[in-house]
Amino acid sequence: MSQDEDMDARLARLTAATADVRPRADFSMRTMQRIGQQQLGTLYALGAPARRFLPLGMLAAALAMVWAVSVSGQVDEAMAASDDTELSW
Amino acid sequence: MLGNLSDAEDVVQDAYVKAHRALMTGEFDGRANVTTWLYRIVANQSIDAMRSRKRRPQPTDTADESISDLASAEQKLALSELDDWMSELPADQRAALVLKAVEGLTSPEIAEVLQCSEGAVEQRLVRARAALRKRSEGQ
Repeated sequence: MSQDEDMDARLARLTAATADVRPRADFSMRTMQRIGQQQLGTLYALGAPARRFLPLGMLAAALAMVWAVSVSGQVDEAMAASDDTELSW
Repeated sequence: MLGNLSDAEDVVQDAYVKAHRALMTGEFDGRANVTTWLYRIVANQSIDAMRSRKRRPQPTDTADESISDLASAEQKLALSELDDWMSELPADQRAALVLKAVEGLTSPEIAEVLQCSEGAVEQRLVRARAALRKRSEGQ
C-alpha cells in the first residue's frame, strides 16, 4: 500500500503544482472568433441552396414591378377623369 | 491530460466550438448534466488528440517552446514530469486517471463522462496504477 500512497502523493503534488496553469490571455477572444466563423459558415451554408432560386426571384420581382407600374397608370387615369367630373346637387 | 498547454488550448477551444454548435443545432438533448456533457466533449477531444499524437510523435523541444510563455518554471517542470510519467499509458486509462486524481470525479461520474460502465472505469484505473507503479520502480 505504501507504493500506492507514494503514487497518490506524487499525483497530488503534480496536480497542485499545475492547478494554477491558465490559458493565454487571448484564449477567450480566439475562441469567440472561431465560434463567430462557425456561425458565418452556417449562414453561408444556408444561403447556398437559396441561391438556386435567385433567377426565379428576380423574374417575380420584375413582373411585380411591371404590374405595379400598369396599375399605377390606371389609377392616375381614373383620378384625372374624376377631376373633370362636376358634382351635381 | 495532454501534458502540453498548447495542445490543451486547442482541445478546449475545439470543445467549446463543438459545444456551441451542439447547443445551436439542438444536438444537446439535456439528458446529461451540462458539466458532465462538457467534460465528455473535452475528454473525447483529448483522447483523440492523444491517439493522433501517438501516431505522429512531436519533438520534445516543440512542446517545451509552446509552454514557455504560459507557465512558471515549476509548473513547466511539473507538467513535463506528469506527461513523462503518464506517457506510456493508453489514452483511455490516462483519461480515467486524470479525471479521478486531478479533476476529483467519482467513478460513476467518470463512467458517465467516458460513456462506459463503472466496472470498465475501475479496470482502467487499476491498470493505469499498475503501469505507473511499474514505471516508478523502473525510474
